[in-house]
Parts: sequence; structure tokens; C-alpha cells
Amino acid sequence: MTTLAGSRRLRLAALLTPVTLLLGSCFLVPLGIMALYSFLTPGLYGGVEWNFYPYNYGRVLGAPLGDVEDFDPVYIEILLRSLRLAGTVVVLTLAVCYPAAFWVSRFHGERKSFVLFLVTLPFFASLIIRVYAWMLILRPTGFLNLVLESAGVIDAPLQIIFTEVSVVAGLVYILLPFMFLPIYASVEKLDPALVQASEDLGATPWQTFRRVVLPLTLPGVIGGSLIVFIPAFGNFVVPALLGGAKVMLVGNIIEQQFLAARNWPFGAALAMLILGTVLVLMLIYVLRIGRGGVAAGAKA
Amino acid sequence: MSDQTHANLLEIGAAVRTFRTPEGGIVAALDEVGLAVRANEFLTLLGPSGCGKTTLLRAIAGFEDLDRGDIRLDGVSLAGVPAYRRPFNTVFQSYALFPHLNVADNVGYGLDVKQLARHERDARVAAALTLVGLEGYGRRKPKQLSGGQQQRVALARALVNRPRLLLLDEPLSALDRNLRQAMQIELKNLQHEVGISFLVVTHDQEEALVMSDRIAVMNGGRIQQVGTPGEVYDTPANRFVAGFIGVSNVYAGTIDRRDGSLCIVRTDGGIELWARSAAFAAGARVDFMIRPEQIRVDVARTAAQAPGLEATVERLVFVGADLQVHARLADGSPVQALVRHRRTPVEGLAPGSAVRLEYDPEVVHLMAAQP
Amino acid sequence: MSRRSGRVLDAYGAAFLLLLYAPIALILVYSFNSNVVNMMAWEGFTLDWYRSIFGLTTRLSESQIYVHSTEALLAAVRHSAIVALCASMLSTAIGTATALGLARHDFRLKRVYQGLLVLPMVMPDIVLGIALLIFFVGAGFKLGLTTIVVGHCVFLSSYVFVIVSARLAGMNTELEEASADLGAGPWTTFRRVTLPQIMPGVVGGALLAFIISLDDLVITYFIAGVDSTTLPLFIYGMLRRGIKPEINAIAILLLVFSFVVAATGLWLRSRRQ
Repeated sequence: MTTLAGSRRLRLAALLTPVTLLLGSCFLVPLGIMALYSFLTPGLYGGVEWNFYPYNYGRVLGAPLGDVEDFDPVYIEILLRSLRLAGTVVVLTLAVCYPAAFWVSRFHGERKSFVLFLVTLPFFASLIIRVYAWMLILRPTGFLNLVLESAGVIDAPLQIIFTEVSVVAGLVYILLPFMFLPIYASVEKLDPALVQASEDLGATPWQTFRRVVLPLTLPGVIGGSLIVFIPAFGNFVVPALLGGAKVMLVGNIIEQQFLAARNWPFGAALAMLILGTVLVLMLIYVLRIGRGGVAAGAKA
Repeated sequence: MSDQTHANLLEIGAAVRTFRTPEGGIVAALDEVGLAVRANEFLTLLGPSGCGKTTLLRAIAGFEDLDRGDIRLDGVSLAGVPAYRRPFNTVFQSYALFPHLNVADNVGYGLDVKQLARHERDARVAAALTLVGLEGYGRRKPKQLSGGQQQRVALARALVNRPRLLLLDEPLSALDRNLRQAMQIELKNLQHEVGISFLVVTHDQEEALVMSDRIAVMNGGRIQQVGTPGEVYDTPANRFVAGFIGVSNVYAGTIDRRDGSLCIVRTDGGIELWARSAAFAAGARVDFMIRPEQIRVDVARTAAQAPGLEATVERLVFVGADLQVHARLADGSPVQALVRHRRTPVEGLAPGSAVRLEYDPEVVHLMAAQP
Repeated sequence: MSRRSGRVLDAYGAAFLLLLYAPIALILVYSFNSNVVNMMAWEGFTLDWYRSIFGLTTRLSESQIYVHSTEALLAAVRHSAIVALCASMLSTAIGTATALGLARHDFRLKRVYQGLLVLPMVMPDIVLGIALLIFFVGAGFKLGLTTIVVGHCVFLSSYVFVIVSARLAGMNTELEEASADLGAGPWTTFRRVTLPQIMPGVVGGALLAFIISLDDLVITYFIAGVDSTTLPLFIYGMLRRGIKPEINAIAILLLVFSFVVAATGLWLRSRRQ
């Protein structure tokens, strides 16, 4: 006998088959293979040999693991630099976006939609072009030096491009919307009556901010920080264009392993380290902040 | 009726439906429910929220499976028949009008999916809109209508398909009080006019009394009583029905002795009450029920002609046409009586005054006590 | 809030918008600069850079033109268009079906699916890119437009899923029951009730998927073949070799196109029933 529940199950299976096949075969399986690769011996001229080989990780984490044979501290330095720069980018985007979210939330009706539209639009501009704009601004013959020189502030062009400063500037610019939208969402939900209630109860503006506004907008701040940190940490386009050979991040090393050095297992091991970091952060986020926040905070 | 072998239009037999609660427990929304819907009747499923009445309606409509039991239309089981193949239509509590379609396309939806010829479809839509008093509203969008008008569109959208049975889920709950009372009469008239059985789910006992040919009272997933409004009001099957429909005074007790057809009941508080009933033998546990309007308040405490009870008045509540007298019997149990309101205060009737409450043993009602 | 602090905040907002738009405006200005020696020094207005990328005649000499082959640029544009169209259509179908499945049914693995769908969005691009590269090469697929489309679908489906789910969550489920009650089968109900209700979400999701696919650099970088260069890859290659003025013109054309698509999507999303 077919039951109503039975035919509903059939429909559910039909609806979920495509995504199951897609994410199963082209997401989970590739991630599994990548994990496997990170433990294989790199072959000559690319390729792999199928034996267990923990030294891909040893090259990066050798000394801490007690294995110094082919350990090179440069990889740990690069990992730490990537973490430090990503952290700096989070702090800067937060500092820029937090007041901006309050600014937008003060508008009403049509004007608010329009301002929100203006803030959201650059997000849809091609990423590579937004990075390119900063090459125009920061390079020795670029717009910034042009302005500073003609204003007489400097005599010789500043070397800004191919420094950490230029990498951070580029990352901040392209990641601003990722920080803005989650913060804005939580600022929008903040009931103005709560601020008034706090003032009514005798709190100074600073106390009101510290005890009411900040705690209530914290979920947006944390969500935004997470979704800014992740792409900043693994980025290789911005350092490649604005950091050159001087400011290498872990993403650049991975790219080299795959497209120049042809050492795929080592590249896979580095990618696993990035993935591990991200998953740990995600786990902390989900356990501490609750569910659904990441999905809601992402580009939706 | 086309088929004379089945006197009932719809029969529900021993229906069971359980749900898992979030805490992991199991709740029976329907517990061995049996019910028959007759042709061309207005039947109301009445009960408090969570009593299983909506689950039963949804099972009939085809939105829910039963765990056990069956639902038969003209004697044929509907198990496994999806909602869209059942000749029933529903008026939803939220009306569920399609916001992207105008009124005429909402009403014509059921005819469109059956691919009726255009001219017949249009004629039936127009007739249905006329039936509910909305001629000329066809091109409006649902959100341009008032709540009462949306309700009528929902009715027209269901009736235009000429269902064997119309299911209405709390149809009047979203309307304000005045409109609700007008619609009660109107629904009843409409049912009479179209000659289709209506099965209405409601938690409002007044609504049920006004509209129904028969009322099925539900509680805890079980049918408590099925009967005409008069039957469920005057002779409720048990304490729950007595309390849910109207106001009643109910006292648990035992039949002390019988004197012909007269039963003398001793309540658990030790008070003697008289009732005319042949249904119980001496020693049986019963619930004694009397409605407030069946009690006469004797302030002067004249010599007893009818059986009476001594009581002390606690509170007087003015409710417009009547005066509610809240009092306590000698054993402390509460009693309520109703006095037709008079312009001048009744002399001697004040909080604290002792009164005699008289009643007629012929009109009181005895119910088997529930375990 | 006092009037003065309001004014401070307004000034801040203006500065914020300036930060967002000034870099883009800079490209726009330079794309019309006729100075062929130093592109940063304004000389005069010209459309030559726009003309040169389409292979039209210009005042520029051969050595000043960086895009030697308009064909290569047009091929990149064509590849990007094919990939973005196919990937956005496929992922819209998959993401919408998934949203319908998860929104209208309760089952044990629901939370697993919800978590799984978030992962491709939050995973660093480079990790997904190399995982797909190892997988495609290992499985013997030839890298090309097909592998790019499949790779894009992996993360685009999640974006469509999120947007359509939000729309479904705001829809009264009784509408679907009402449709079934009136005699419409599951397919008719989907076509005549559910789809019209969630259409703004579906179209918005498709447009977003289209833009993200069109713009994707990192994942495409790893899974593109030698003859399947997309526009972002093409521009990236140009930038690695040095900055030439035509890039300004290409950038502006691409920006205008993305802004039109994005504005359409945002407008559709803001339109509520």
C-alpha cells in the first residue's frame, strides 16, 4: 500500500539526488583524495608514489614534531605571517565596517535601500579588478605617489607595493563587504528602545555601548570576522599581485607546489593545514555561537 | 445518496495517529477515533487545542497518514489516496489564498487543474462568487480584500469544485466578534443552500452550538460525545463535555438509594441531591450536573416545595442580561446560579447572605463517573 | 543621538563610500586617458583603449597595444560566458531542488545536509581548487570548460540553496496544501503555486551564481585547461606581465556588465510580495 508518507519520501529522494551526487563525487571525494595525497611520496616530475610518507607535514612542522631531517623553518614563518596578516585584515575591516553599519542603519525607507544598494554594489565588481585598482594606486608611479609628490610631501616615490602594507590594503578592500553585511544584519536587529532604556536607566553613552550595543551586535562581529579571516588566510591572488616575491603567503606556496614545483603531496599537506585551521575555527564558532549564523551571514 | 447500502457519507474507523514530541515522548493525537459524517449535514468537531481535531481533519483531507484505522468514503477506503485525488475541499484557517493569483483565478484554480472548458469554468467561478456575495471582485488580489472577504473567497474556492464534503479548519477564528457571529448564521445557510456536508473544526463552543446539526466533542485524542447541540448541552456524556459546553455545576457522588425513578445522590461532600433517572442502580458512582439557569435563588428561604440546597453567596457578577450568583454549598463546594437581571437590586442578595437554591429533579442530569 | 555625533557619522559614511568607489573610479578615469607614455598622467580624452580591445583602428602604434590578439580576449569572454551560463543554470536547478527537499521534509540526515551545504561556501577557494585539480587529473578528466562548470557548481549550488531557502521559509506551507486540496498533483502544485512564490529567490540566486561564476579566479585557475582561459584568468595573466592601459578599458566593460546584472538581482530581491 502506498502511503502519503511513502510518496513524500520518494519525492524527497528525487529532490536530493542531484546535490548528493554533486557534493559526494565532486566535493567529499576530492577532499578525501587530497587528504590521502598529503600522506604520499612525491614522485619525480610531479605525480606520486603510493607509500605512506609523513614528511610532507614534517617539512612544515618538523621541529615541533621532533623530526628535523628536511624541516625548513621558512614554511612555519610563512604560515605565521599568513595568520598575522589575516588577523590584521580582520581587525581593520572590523574597524571600518562597524561604524559604517550604524551609519547605514540610521536611514529610513527608500533612502536606506539606496544606501544599502550603494554599499553592496562594489561587492559584485570583479575581484581581480578590485585588486588591480590597488596596483594602480600603490605602485611607484601610482596614484598615491603622484598625489604625494605633487603635494610636495615626498621627494622620491614610496615603495609601498610588494610590502605587507599593500597586501593588507588589497585584502581589506576586497573583503570589506564580507564584514559589513553580517555586522549590518545584527545592527539592524538592534531595537533602538533598548538603547533608550539604557540611557533612561542612567548609563553614559560609553556604558550603553559597552553593556547593551556591543553584546547585541557581537554575533555579527564574530560571524563577519570568521568569513573575512578564512579567505584572507588562504588567499594567493592578492599577495601574488600586490606582494610579489617579497610577501609570500601560504596560498602562494601551495600554488607553486601545484603549478611550478610539481610537488602535489606537499601542496596537499599545506592545504590540509589551512583546511584544519578553518575547520577548527568553524567548530568553535558553531559550538559557541550556535547554528545557522554562518549560512545567514554569507553572501545572502 | 447514490449508494443506499452506505447510509453514511464518510466513516472513520478506529483511527490512531501518534506523534513524537521533541522530548522523545509519544503523544496520541488520535486514539481509536470512530466517527461518521452523514450526507448533507453540518457536523462540528469541537474541542480544546491539542485535542486531535485538526489532525483528524487533516487525515480526512489527505495531508496526514493514519497509523491504524481507516477512512471510508461511500464504504471505500481512502488509504493511500493523495489529497489531490480526494473529492473533498478545505477552507484553511489562514485561508491560504494564492497571493500571486487574483480572486477569480484563486476560485478557478481547482477547475483549471481539472482543465475544464473555459466558458464553463468562467460561469462556475462567477456563480461561486455570487453565492458568497463577491460578484465583481474577481480581478482583485487577495491582499486587497478584508479578512471577511478573504474568508468568502476561500469558501467560494472550495465550493466551486462541488466537493462531496467541505472541511473547514477554524474558519471564523481570524474574524472579529461581530463578523464572526454574522458568519455563523451565514455558513449554516450556505450549507443548507448548497446541500454539501460541512465538517467544521472549532474550539469555540458557542460557534458549534449555533451552526451545527451535530457536534462531535473531542478531548485527548478521543471522541467524547456525538449529538445534536441540544443533546450535548442538556445530556452531556461526561464531566468533560459538561464543563466544555456552557457553564455547569458538577458534583461527584454515589447513588445512595432509589425511590421509584427518583435517585438520591450523596455527594462526596455529604450533601443529598435528587435526580430523576432510570439509568443507575444504588451504589453506582455518578457525576451530578445542573446548569446555573436551572437553579432558582430563593432569598426569602420560604418553605421548600422543590428540593433545595443551603448556600452562602460569595460574589455577584453582572453580565448584562443576567446576574451570576457565585456561592458555596455547606461542604464548601462552589455553585453558580443565574438570575434574570432586574433593574433594582434583589433584596437580601448580597455577598455573605444565606440563600436557598431550588432545582427541579426532572431537569438535572446524571452522568457515569469517569475512572 | 545628538546632532553633532550624527554629523560625524554622516561624514564617516561619506568617507566609507569614497573608500569603496574611489579605486574603481580611478580605473574609469584612466581608461579614457590618451597618454600612451605615462598612463597615470592625464593628457586628454580618448576612446582608443576601448577601440583597441575590439581590434578597431586607433592612433596607437603596434608596440603600444598590449592585447595583441583580440581573438584571445574574445575567446576568454566566450569561455567565461559559457561557463557562467551553464554553471549558474545547473546550480540553480540543483540548489532549488535541495532547498525544496530540506524545507518541506523532515528526516534524520537533514542537519548533515545543511552542514554539508555550508562547507563549500566557507572553505578557502584554494583548498577546493587543488582538491578538484587532484580529483579531475586523477580520474582522467581532461581539464577544460566542463571541469570548470562542474567545479563551479560545487560551490554555486550552496549559494542558490541559501537564497531559495530564505524565500521558502517566508512562504505559507498551507498554500501548497490548498493546491493539493483543490486537486492539483505535486508537479502542478510546484509549477502553479510554489514556483511563482519562490521565483524572485530563484532568479536572484541564478543571477548571483552567474556573477560569482563569471568572477571566479582561484578555483578556475587550478581546473582550467590550456585552451579554456576565462576572462578573470586572462586579466590575471595580463597583470602578472605588467600594467598596460587597455586593462582599464577591459576592467570598466566587465564592471559595467557585473553591475547591471547585480543591480537587476538586488532589485528583484527587494521586490517583495
